[in-house]
Amino acid sequence: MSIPRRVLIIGAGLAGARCAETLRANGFDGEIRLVGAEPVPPYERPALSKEHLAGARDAASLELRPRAFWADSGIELLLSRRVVSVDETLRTATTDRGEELAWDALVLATGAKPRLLPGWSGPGVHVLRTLADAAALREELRPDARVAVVGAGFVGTEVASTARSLGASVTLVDVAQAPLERVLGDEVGSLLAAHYAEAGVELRLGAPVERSELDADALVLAVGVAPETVAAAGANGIPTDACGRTLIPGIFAAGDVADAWHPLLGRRLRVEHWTSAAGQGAAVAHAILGDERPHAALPYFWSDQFGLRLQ
Amino acid sequence: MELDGEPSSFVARYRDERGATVAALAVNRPAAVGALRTELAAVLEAQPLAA
Repeated sequence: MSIPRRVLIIGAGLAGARCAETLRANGFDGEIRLVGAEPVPPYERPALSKEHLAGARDAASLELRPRAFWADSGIELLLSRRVVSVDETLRTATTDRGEELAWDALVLATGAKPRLLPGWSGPGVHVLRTLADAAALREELRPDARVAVVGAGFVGTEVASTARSLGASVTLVDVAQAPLERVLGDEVGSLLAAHYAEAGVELRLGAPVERSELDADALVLAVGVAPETVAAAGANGIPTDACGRTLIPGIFAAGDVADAWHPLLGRRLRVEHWTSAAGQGAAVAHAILGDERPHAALPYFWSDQFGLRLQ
Repeated sequence: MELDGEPSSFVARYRDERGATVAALAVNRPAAVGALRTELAAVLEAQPLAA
């Protein structure tokens, strides 16, 4: 197998960054281009709902690497751009600036985008995925603010925790009977619900809520994410093997967008956690180099909320 | 599921119909995580889950 000379990585989040770094760390001396939609170099997203939202960590401290690392490593960052089309035959990708980028290996690490609710938009309505989202929400989290968080998954419960820590009054809403119920089950969810109530959170669980029923200054939609794709994908992301290879030769996927085969679990799954993005990004780099190292680590997450560390 | 601990600090083991641990949660028990990962990996390596 010949090693590609031009690697184009779409998505400058953790998976894309880890892929680029791993290529260089393993001797790849060809072209690496990393395309990101946001105007900033790759950064840690987990802190967006916690320390960063609370004002305890600034944006610069979230960056995965010092600014000079990327240029020093010969990794070209193409920021504030979106890839709008990919030509699998000509092996090119086109950005929203009209740039045509050639590739021998293409890595789709485009992540995910927050799901929205029809009719729930306008001033005071927030989602949380990017630094810009966090900055906008942070403006609203005043000590006297009334904040409603719709969706009691990890992002929603962490935002609720941070908002309470800043003195806001918080209502947490979900159609499930308990927070994090879909992931952790009703028994653990009930324990967490009691803990949140003790922390002063108003819980409205177990039934749909109309927007007009929520009297809030800020409304945070945390109802999950959908894969962000630029190429043909299944409903649950881009199917790959455990090395991140898609069905199309030369095209790989990693991170939140990848519906990756897990050799121990015996099925494909799309995992939206930090450790999977990092591991998949590295596995793709090795696969590009012809050094097959399937990502087989067990999915792992952590969440800090209301004085609890969940792992 | 099996819970061990108190509401603010516990370990939960999620078991399949055979009683094997297939997932685990540690709440304010960081020291337990390593052993839980080892336990889960051993179970899955011995008998990968069916598709």
